[in-house]
This record gives sequence, C-alpha cells and structure tokens, in this order.
Amino acid sequence: MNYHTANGDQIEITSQIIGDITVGEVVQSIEGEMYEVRNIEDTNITVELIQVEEDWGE
Amino acid sequence: MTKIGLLHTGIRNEEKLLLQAANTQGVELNMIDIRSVKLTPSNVSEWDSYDVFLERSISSVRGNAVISFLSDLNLPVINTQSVMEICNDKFRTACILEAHNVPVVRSILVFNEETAKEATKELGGFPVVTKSREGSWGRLMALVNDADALESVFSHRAFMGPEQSAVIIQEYINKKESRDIRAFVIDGRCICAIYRTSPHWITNTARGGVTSNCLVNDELQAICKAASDAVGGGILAMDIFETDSGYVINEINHTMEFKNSEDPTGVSISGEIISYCRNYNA
Ligand SMILES: Nc1ncnc2c1ncn2[C@@H]1O[C@H](COP(=O)(O)OP(=O)(O)OP(=O)(O)O)[C@@H](O)[C@H]1O
Ligand SMILES: [Mg+2]
Repeated sequence: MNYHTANGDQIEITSQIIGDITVGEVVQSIEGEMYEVRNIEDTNITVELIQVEEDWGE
Repeated sequence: MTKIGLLHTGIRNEEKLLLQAANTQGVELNMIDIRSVKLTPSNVSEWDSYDVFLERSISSVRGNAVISFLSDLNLPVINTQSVMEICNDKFRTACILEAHNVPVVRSILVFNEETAKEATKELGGFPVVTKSREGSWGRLMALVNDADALESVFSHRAFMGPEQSAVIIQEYINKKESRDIRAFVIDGRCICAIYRTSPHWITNTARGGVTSNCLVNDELQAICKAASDAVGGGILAMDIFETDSGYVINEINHTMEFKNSEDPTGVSISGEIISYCRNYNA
C-alpha cells in the first residue's frame, strides 16, 4: 500500500487496518497526525490531513 | 431481516469491526455518512427503510443533531436522545446517578472562582479536578493542587467563550494501582471491562493508557446495571474508579470507542453491539 496526499507527499501509516481499506477511513501517521482516506486505486491510496476537532471523541 | 443504518463521520476501526460483525451475523448494515446528509423533516423517506439506527459519529455535534432529528420523527436510534443528553453532560450524569443512589464521584458545578474555592472546601480541599460538562479524550481537564492553579483555570477559561464558564469541581480520586476501569455495558449487562493503567492521572487509551482485562465481579456487574438503569440503558461505556468504599462511577459515554478492548477481554464487543441492534425494540 502506498499512502500519499493529493500533492504526492508520502505518508507512513501506523494504524492497524482491519479488513479492506475503505474511503472515509481515518488512519494515523507515524507522526501521530490523522488522515482520512479520500481515494483508492489499487495499492495507491490518497489521504487528506484532518484536524482533530473539539467535539471529537467519546 | 433487520436493517441497521450505521451513522458515521470518519470511519474508525470500531466502525469496521461493526461492519464485520454485521457480515458475520448476516445482518444488513448500511453506512450513512452524516457529514453529507441534509436533514429535513418534510422528507423522511430516505430514513424510513431502516429498522434501527446506530449512532457512531466521532463528532458529538453531528451525532447528537442526528439523534435528535431521528427521535423527533419517532425513528428508533441507539442510543436514545434522552440517554445521549444525559451522558453528553458529565454534570447531569452525576446528578442522575446520585438521584438513583448510584455511587458517583462527588461533583459541584460552579460559574466563578469564588464559588470554586468554596466547592473545593466542601469537597475536602485540594487536590480537585476541574472539567467541562462536555468533553472527551481528557481534554480541558486539570488536576488542581492549590489556589494559584485554580485561579489559572478560571483566568484561562474566561477567554474560552460562555460555555466554558460552567466548571465542574470534582474530588480527586487517588487511583489504586494507577488504574481505572472502563466497563462496556449493553442493555444493563456488563459484557466485559478493562483496566486502563497509566503513570499519568488521565488514563484514556487515546492518551496512552495501557489496557488489560478486568474480570467482571458481582459488585461491578451491580453498579453497571444500576447506572445503566439510571441513565436509560442502551450501549454504554462507563468509567469507574476503585475506592476503599467500593466502585464509583466517573462518567458514562454514549458513543463508545472499543477497538483497544476486544483483544484484552477476548469479547467481541462489536458482535454484542450488532446483536443488541438486531433484537432492538424501541
Ligand atoms: N475526579 C477524578 N479523579 C481522578 N482521576 C480522574 C478524575 N476525573 C477524571 N480522571 C481521569 O481522567 C480521565 C478522563 O476523564 P473523564 O473520563 O471524566 O473525561 P474524558 O475521558 O475526557 O471523557 P471521555 O471518556 O468521554 O473521552 C479518566 O478516565 C480518569 O483517568
Ligand atoms: Mg472518560
């Protein structure tokens, strides 16, 4: 799997992926940033950085 | 066959586990991204075809809005609006548990520094914990050891908007073995529990707390049942402290995260949630 942003920046993902990766899935990078999967083409996965918002979490 | 509408924002491992559990149990589950819905009471046809909705939004603003919308249209949603409203507010949770004689961390709601000082005295003095009525992942919480720290909390909060002027002052619980308990409760039954151990006084797994299995004894089962009955049942995650006088509830979450708890407990929390949805009778 090759995770990258729309600009082509490579992102190393640390979160465990359960089953098949899906669009809308939230993943975490090695730096601890959160990304959301926007597009999947074969092993090419485009992600976008998301900000943790105040009303997030359980 | 039951058709479940899973209301989500970003998809976490929890939501994927729920999808898998639905597949395993042969239940139809549709993912509904509530970030892209347009809610209008005049067109409910798109919602009508579901037997039950399971609210799993990461964002409480969005999740709570959709719960209210569906409830107002008399559509079955888990958890119910009333459970959501109680659990969303740590102070209301404390009041309702107290009213039902369920042991709960002593909390006093204040609106300024003066009354915060008085509240601290009434709770037996420093240290106390300050927190907001709503909040998650341990944010905006402070362990306050003296009057200077208390003053800082209020001077900072003065710049955070009117909502943050309401502050819960809570007795500080010195945790046994640096841990607290997270109990997973469905329909009044504690299906499993974990210890969250951390060198930091905030033990959330989202903040680095380490999980291990906690055996559910009768006493734990009893407080979970009583707390669940008090707030209205459903699918709940309870934060519980061990004290010399027994268990006390810290707070109850109505949209729980559980991905780090299936492994240590060996219980399929996702499977139990789907079973509950299948048999749900509003
Ligand atoms: N009164 C207290 N005494 C000791 N520790 C506390 C107290 N209140 C909170 N904590 C610690 O901080 C953690 C987070 O507090 P709390 O559960 O109230 O809010 P939250 O975790 O931000 O909310 P959520 O669980 O909804 O994400 C608790 O699990 C516990 O470890
Ligand atoms: Mg908590």
